[in-house]
Amino acid sequence: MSKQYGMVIDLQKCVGCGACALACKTENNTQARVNGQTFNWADFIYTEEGKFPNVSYSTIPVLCNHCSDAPCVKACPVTPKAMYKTADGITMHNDERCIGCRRCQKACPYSATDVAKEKAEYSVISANIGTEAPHAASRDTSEMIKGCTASGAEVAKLAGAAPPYQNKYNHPDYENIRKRGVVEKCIFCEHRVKQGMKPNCAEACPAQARIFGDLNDSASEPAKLLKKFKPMRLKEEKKTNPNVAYIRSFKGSNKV
Amino acid sequence: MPDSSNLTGSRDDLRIDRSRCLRMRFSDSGCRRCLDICPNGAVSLDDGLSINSKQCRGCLLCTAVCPAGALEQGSDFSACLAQLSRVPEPVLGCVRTNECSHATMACLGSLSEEHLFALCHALDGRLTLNLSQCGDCPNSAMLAILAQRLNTLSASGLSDEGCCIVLAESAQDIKCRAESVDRRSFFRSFGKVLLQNAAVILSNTREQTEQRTDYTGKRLPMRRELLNRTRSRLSLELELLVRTHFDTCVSFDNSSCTGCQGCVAICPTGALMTGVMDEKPVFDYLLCTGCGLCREFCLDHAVRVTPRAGL
Ligand code: SF4
Ligand code: SF4
Ligand code: SF4
Ligand code: SF4
Ligand code: SF4
Repeated sequence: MSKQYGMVIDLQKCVGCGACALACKTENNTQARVNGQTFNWADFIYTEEGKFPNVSYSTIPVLCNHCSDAPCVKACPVTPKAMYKTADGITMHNDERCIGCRRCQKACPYSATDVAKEKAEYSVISANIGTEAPHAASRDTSEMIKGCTASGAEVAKLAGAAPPYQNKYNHPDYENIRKRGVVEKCIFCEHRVKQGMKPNCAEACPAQARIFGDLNDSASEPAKLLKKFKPMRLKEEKKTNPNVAYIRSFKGSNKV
Repeated sequence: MPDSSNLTGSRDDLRIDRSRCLRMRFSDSGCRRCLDICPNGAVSLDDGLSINSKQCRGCLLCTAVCPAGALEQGSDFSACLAQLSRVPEPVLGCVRTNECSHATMACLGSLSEEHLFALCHALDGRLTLNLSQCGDCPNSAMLAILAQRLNTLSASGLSDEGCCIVLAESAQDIKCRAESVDRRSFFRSFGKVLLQNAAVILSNTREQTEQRTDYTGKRLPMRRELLNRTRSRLSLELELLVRTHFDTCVSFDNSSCTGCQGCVAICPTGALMTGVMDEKPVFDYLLCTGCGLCREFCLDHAVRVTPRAGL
């Protein structure tokens, strides 16, 4: 049977520290929030419920669900699709073919075209809709003090190293920094997974609440957990067949 | 060197840029202009654009109809223009007519209305198109199409004020004098230098016949670029005729356009631009080829593509 990569998130292990989100940002060089786009490939839903003194506060880490029936893939108009499923079940984005029409963003039930306007908590897909090319720091070649110091990018070029805050990796489908006009989202760190490593969010989680692996392999860690506990998935009514599942939610909360 | 009478073009004369093809950009696009015109059945659109190199004979008819610049001729048309303008009574032919033409192209099937229009207004006097070898050429299907393109131009008055283009199907009609380099004709052609300089932009001949541009990148097809260069130096009457014949008007239904900017992304040429986010896009008719992809693509059926009125 072919692989189906997926992730199980153990909500009783998750302490809501945000290490996953930061690890994702550094690994994938994602930008800061702008134009109603979060650029947080890993993000959170925070819920406060109840009335004092019976209150509860819960954190649910979110990322692309790498859905088996992904509406984003269905919506992508390009041939061959810029948003597509890999043989390993990852929902992959090719930034060369992407024309930036944002139909995927509209179609994904876990995304918003503008998180501020739609009052959405998070958006799996973000779009580079600004008029300037993103990642100015990585592209900047100007001098910091005229005629004196060089920019980080310039120094890095001479030294053959990465400019500050840019993790350089190579992948045939996506670049490590984005260009204007395309969308972006979690790609399950395929560049790492291909080399036998875990996605960086799973690597960084101090509580080991994110368990990544092949869901079709019954001996894999996530598959075993899915058997042991009754999993919950986001917006199951949308019939997207998410491959990110949540287990062991605290009682009372977690209406998602 | 092979006997030139046996020569025909090949798939190598065609430059393909799949990222421009309307079908590649939008899988539901109904465009099939290249498939319909190809006399050799070399085009397949089932799985995106592909050209069968065994069947393609390089007639380049498709390059004259593709509205997006996905199929273009690989050779340098501006060099042709420059060569022709140096001769008082120029003759333009294909590779089969090397000996008796002042300039050659892979096949004259690549002469679109825009090309004919440019030739007509860049040259003086009389231009002969050497068709003497076309009759027994496997690409002879282009003969009727070329004649029809020329008719359309003159019927719309677009060849008024320009040089006279003659289709010469028999060898007797062709007087190909050696290229004259006398001072007078040199200075006569000097007035055309502007146009030729401008045409240099069009002349970046590339070695590979497969080109890859970014899907997000916008590129004006060579034909449209050529038209824009030509029209910039015409009389107002002609400019009005150009508008009616070649230009398109893209407008938006204010009540149904959601301002999603999807059509801005899908447009291959850059004719649609984002003015204000979440509002209807801004349109530049000079960059539009009238391909209609924006209309096909809009989920809200908010785009109207209509001919541009003359006035
Ligand atoms: S969560 Fe959204 S972006 Fe991810 S696969 Fe599902 S539909 Fe696509
Ligand atoms: S924005 Fe890119 S990935 Fe998304 S639907 Fe459009 S072309 Fe496909
Ligand atoms: S005419 Fe051009 S845009 Fe249309 S299908 Fe053919 S290659 Fe694609
Ligand atoms: S015309 Fe259609 S595709 Fe273009 S911005 Fe308006 S709604 Fe979007
Ligand atoms: S504006 Fe519309 S019709 Fe004009 S070139 Fe762009 S997509 Fe084609």
